[in-house]
Amino acid sequence: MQARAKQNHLEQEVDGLLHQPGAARFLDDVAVDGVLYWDLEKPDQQWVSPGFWERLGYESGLDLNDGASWQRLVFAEDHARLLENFRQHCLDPDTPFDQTIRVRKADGHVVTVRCRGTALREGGTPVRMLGVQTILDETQAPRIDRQLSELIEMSDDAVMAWSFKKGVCRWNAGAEKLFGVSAAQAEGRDPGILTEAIYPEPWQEISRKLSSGEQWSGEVQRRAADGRRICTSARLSPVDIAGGDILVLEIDRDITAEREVREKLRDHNRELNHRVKNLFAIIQGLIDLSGTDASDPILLTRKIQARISALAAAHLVSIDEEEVQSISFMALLEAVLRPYDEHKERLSLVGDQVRLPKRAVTPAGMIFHELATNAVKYGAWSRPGGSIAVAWEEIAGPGGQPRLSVSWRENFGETAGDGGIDVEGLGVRLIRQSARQLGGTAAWEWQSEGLMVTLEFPIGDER
Amino acid sequence: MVEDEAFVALAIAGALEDEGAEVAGPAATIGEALDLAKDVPCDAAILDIDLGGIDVFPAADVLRAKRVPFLFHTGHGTRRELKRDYPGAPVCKKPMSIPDLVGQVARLIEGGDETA
Repeated sequence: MQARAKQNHLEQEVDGLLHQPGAARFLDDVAVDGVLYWDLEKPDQQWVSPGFWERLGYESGLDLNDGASWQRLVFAEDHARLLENFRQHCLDPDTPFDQTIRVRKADGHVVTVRCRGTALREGGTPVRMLGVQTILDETQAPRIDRQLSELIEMSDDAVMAWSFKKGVCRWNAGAEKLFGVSAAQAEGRDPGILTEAIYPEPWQEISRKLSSGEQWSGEVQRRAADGRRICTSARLSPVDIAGGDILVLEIDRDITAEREVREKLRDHNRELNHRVKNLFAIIQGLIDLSGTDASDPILLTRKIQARISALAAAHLVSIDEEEVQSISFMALLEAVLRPYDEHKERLSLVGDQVRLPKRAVTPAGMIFHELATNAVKYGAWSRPGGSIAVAWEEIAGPGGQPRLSVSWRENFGETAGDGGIDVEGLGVRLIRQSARQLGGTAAWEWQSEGLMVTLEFPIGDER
Repeated sequence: MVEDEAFVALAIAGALEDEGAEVAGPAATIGEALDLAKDVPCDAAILDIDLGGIDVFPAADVLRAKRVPFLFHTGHGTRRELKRDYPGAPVCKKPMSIPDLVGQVARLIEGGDETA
């Protein structure tokens, strides 16, 4: 490698080329520190003007024209970028081949070199690359590097550089904060293993993309050092592919909260969808049932209307309190029963502050609707001076589970006695079935002043 | 018959009775469903899946062991586990018209043990 340079065929070609008007003009246009001439048909062969290496402090006459020397002296990630730009330029002559690369000087310092060139084509096929190098202000590049480093350090996003073989080599403060792992702890580790990453596609697939120079981005599930599950929007860019190793620049943004909101929304949607389908089924059943004992279409329509209104009223109570999993029993009674007694003369509601689980809304609402329509038809509200008192209390059931005990007491007024309910009717069957849906019971008895219905059902969250 | 919504339960039960069936249930909770499945001999079963937040599957398992054919009647989207764990059980999605559902039950009974 350090053999004396011989004049190779490319140098001879350059000699000839410089007499060509186009090439000379290109060189005239730019102030250059070096000239590169590259055989694209034999890509391991290139020629760099000796003065370039001398300006970097290398002994004059060293043969540094082989690909290996070039790769050793040029920063690997810059070299990878240069090759990519070169590929683009070959595909499309309008894409300029122009970039800066960092090159090691003989004394170990680094200079930034602007590298420009043009592919010379024969019949459209690039056969040679004519390039020039300009050494830039040596003080400028490190300053920009330092500023970029500071920016990366200050970023809230986790920014890291790691290679397939050597693991993490950069790990910023954002990464320390997000993953709860210090830069020292992360150094040399595989960040995927370190954060227990679960990728949305097989790692082999991602690895294949990176190896072929493509970026990869996606949502990654991880675990922080404290065991917390986090989700990141990750972008992995291969900045250097060399020697069977891949250097990856990775940026992760914490989207845990965002994802939780999204998942909650999806759950809500699913639940809503279920409720709507269920509601259709209920309405279907309601119409079917209401029709079984009705011969007058107007009465039938009214009956269906009233039942749907009661369902809607109960439902409205539950959506008014969307954020909680339970609803106030008093609010439910008010919504379903108050329309029957706007002047608050014939209905009294007295009881503890009790909340029902949401799933109890429909059956409890239906029970009180059926009791009310029965009262209007046969019971207290069909009789002069009749009134209804609903009272309830929370009691401890078996195993200490909270239960609700409700008494529906009808006062038949001047016409006290039994009757007042069609025990074989649909209303009673609905009440029984709804009570069972609640996991409880419904019972009828007649006291001196009139009908009394007792309901009891669990109101705990678990059944 | 297992169905926790009273209107749906009574409407389906009524329609089945109109066709001459004798209806056991409707059970509205998993406890009632298990009791029915264990104790009541029957030719076919309709199972609502979500009973106040609790799945009906333990009752389905009892029926399967007894080789009683059953179908699921559910408002939830198709669950992959259903097809996997109960490949023989038809899934009727709510809202399904009640006559159609009754027809499905009839087919279950005609198919006998093979469908369970």
